[in-house]
Amino acid sequence: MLLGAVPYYMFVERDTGPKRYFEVPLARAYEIFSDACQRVSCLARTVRGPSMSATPGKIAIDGVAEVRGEKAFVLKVLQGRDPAWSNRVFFARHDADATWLDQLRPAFGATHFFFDGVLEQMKRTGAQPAWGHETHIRKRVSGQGHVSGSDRMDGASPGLPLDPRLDGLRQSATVAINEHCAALRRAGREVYRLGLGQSPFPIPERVVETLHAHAAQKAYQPVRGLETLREAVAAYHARTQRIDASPDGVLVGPGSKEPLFPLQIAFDGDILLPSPAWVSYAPRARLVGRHVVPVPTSCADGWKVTAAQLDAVCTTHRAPARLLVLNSPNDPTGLASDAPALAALAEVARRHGIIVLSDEIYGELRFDAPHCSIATFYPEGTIISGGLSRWCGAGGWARSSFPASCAGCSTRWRWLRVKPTPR
Amino acid sequence: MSQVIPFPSHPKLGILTLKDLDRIPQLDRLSSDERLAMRAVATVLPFRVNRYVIDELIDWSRVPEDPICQLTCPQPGMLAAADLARVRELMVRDADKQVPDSTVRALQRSLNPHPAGQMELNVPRLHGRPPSGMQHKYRETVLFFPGAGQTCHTYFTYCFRRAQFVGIDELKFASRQAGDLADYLREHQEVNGVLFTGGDPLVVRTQVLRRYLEPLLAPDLDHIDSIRIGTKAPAYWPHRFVSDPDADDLLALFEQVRRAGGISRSWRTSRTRASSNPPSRSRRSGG
Repeated sequence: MLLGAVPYYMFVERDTGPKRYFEVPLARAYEIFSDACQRVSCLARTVRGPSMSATPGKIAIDGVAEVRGEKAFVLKVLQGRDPAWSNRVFFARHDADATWLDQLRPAFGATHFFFDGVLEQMKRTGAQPAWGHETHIRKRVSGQGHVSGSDRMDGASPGLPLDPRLDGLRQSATVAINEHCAALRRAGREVYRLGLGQSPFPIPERVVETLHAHAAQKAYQPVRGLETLREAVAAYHARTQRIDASPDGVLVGPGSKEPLFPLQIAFDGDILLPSPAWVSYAPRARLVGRHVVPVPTSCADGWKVTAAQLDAVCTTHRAPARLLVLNSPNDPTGLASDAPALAALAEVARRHGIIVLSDEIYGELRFDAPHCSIATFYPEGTIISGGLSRWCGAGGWARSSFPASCAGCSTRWRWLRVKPTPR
Repeated sequence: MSQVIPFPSHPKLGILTLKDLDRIPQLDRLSSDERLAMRAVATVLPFRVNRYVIDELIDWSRVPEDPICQLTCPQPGMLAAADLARVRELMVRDADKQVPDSTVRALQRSLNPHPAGQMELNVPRLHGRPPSGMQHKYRETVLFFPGAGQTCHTYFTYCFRRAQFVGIDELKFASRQAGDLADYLREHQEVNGVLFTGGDPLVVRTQVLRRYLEPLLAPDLDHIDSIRIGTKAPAYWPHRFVSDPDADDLLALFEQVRRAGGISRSWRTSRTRASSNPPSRSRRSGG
C-alpha cells in the first residue's frame, strides 16, 4: 500500500529465463500468498494470485481442496484469451512439486482442461476467439460439469449433444486437400497432388488374386488376425529387424489408423508427439482424451527427434505414463532416423520408462539405406505399426500389424498392460 | 510541521552494464571467482543497473542475500551448472573474457525467450501485416512496445521480456510507428485499454512519449478509457518524476491526459520488496 498504490497481482515466476533459480512449487506459492494476505490490511486484499501468466491466460491458484478423497488445486482464470473464460474455476490434481501450469493434470477423472481444445485450434489455425462481435461460441455443460465451447454449426440439430472432446476439431488437413483437389479435377483443372500419401502404383497382382479368391469368405475370423498371418508378420520382423516377436504379440487390423485408436484409449498416459507430425496423431489423441505433449524438432536436426530433446521433454513433463509416437520414415518430412540416432532415443526412452509407438508404415519405401526400427534397440518397450498401404499400394484394404515383444504379457491386449516405471 | 527530507544528489542515471563490472567498487568485496561467475551469467542474461540502485538500494552488508541484489545482480545459479561452467571456460580461454556470439545466442534461445505462445498467438494483424511493436492477447487490452522504450533503468534478473534486450531482432517487439497503434485501435472497438510496456516506457524522453500518448486522446478513439504504463521507475529511478530534465514535462503530459477526460491513467509497477522505496525519494516522487 506504499504511495497509495493498489495491490494488483502476485505473479508466479514465469517459465522463461532463470525460471529454475526463482521457481517455487505452486503449492508453496499458494501458502506464501495466503500467509501474506492474512498479515496485511484488508485494503491490500485487492491483490489476486498467485497467478501464472500462461498460454491460456492469467491462471491463479485459488485454493487446495479435497473432494471425495482426491486432493486438487482449485484454479481460476483471472483473464483468458477467450473472454468467456474469465473467472472460470477448474481443477488440477494436486502436485506438491509442480511449478507451472504445464506440469499440472486435470483432476477428478477429467482428461483435459476446458481450454485445451480451443488453444490447440488457435495454434493450428492462428485464429483468435471471436472478439468484438456476436459470439459464435456455444457453451455446453458436460455430464461432469465441465463447461466447453465450440463453433456453432449453422443448421446443426440443437437436440444432438456431442462429446466436448469434439470441440474445435476440424477435417483432417490432408483429407481436405485431397477432396479439394478432386473437386478441382472435376472442374477440369490439372492438379498435381502432393497432399496425400497415396501410392499411385498398382497393387501387386498376386495380392489382388488372393483377395479375389477369398472374397466370398464371410465367417468371423480371430479378432487378432489369422494365425498364419501373425506368424508371417512375426517372422518378417525377425528377418528384417532381428526382433524376437512372437505371433501372440501381433495384432492385425484394417489399416494402421484403426488399431491406433484402441491403443490410445487403453493407454492411460500422456502422448509425446514430435512436431511437426502427421496431421491426425494429435486430433486422435484428443478424441480419446489424451494429453498431447509436443516434442520440438528443428531444421538443424533434420526435423528428427533427438535424444537430447526427448530427454529434455521427459525431464520437464512428468507424468505417471508416457507414450512417444515415433514415425520413421517420417510423414511429412520424408526423412528417416538411422541406427545410432534410434539407439540413443531407445536409451532415453528406457531410462524414462516411456513406451514407444513406432509408426513404420513407410519402412519399405526407403531407398537410401535399409529401414531401421527402434524396436531393435528397445524391444521391451516398442510397439511397431506397419502395413501394406504405402509400399504395396493397398490403401483401404491394408492390414497393419502391431507386434510388441513386451515382456510379461499374457493376453491379446497384453502389450497394453505394460506399466512403465514412473520417472 | 512536515519533516524536511534530505534529497541525495544523484541527478545522473549512471547506467552500469557488463563492461562496467570491474568499475563498481561495491563488487570488490566479492572474490575474483564470484565476479567471474557474475560476468558469465551477465553474458547470457543481460545486466543493467543504475547508480541509485548500487549506492542506495542494495544493502551491501547482506550481499548476495539482499533482495535487491538478488533482483538486479546476476547470481551463479541463474544458469544451469553445466551452462555456467561452459561459459566460464570460454571466458577464461579468451584474453578479453569474450564468449562467441553463437554460444550466447544458443543459450538465450534455450531459455524460452517468448513464453506463453506470445509469438505464435499474440501478434495481431493490421491491413494484412503485423503492426509493429504490439501484442493483443486479451480482448480488452492492447500491449504496446514503443521502440525507444525497449530498455530499462535497471533490468530485473527474473525479467520475462528479456527478448527485448538481447539484441536478436527477430525476437524483439518494438514499434517505430506511432500511427500503427492509433490505426489498430480504431479498427478494434472491443479494446478499451492500452498498456505501454517494454522494457520500460518511462525510459523514453517525454517529448517522444507524448507522440505515442497524444493520438490516443482523439475523439474517434473514445472507446479507449484506460492507458496503463508498466514501469519500475517509481522504485528504481524515481528521479524520473522529480529531477530529470524533463520530469516536469512528464507530469504535465499526465495532467494533459487527465484533462482530456474519460481516460484513467495508471501505472503498473512491480514491487518485489518493500524496501525498494526508501522514504527519502519515494515521498517526493508522489504517486
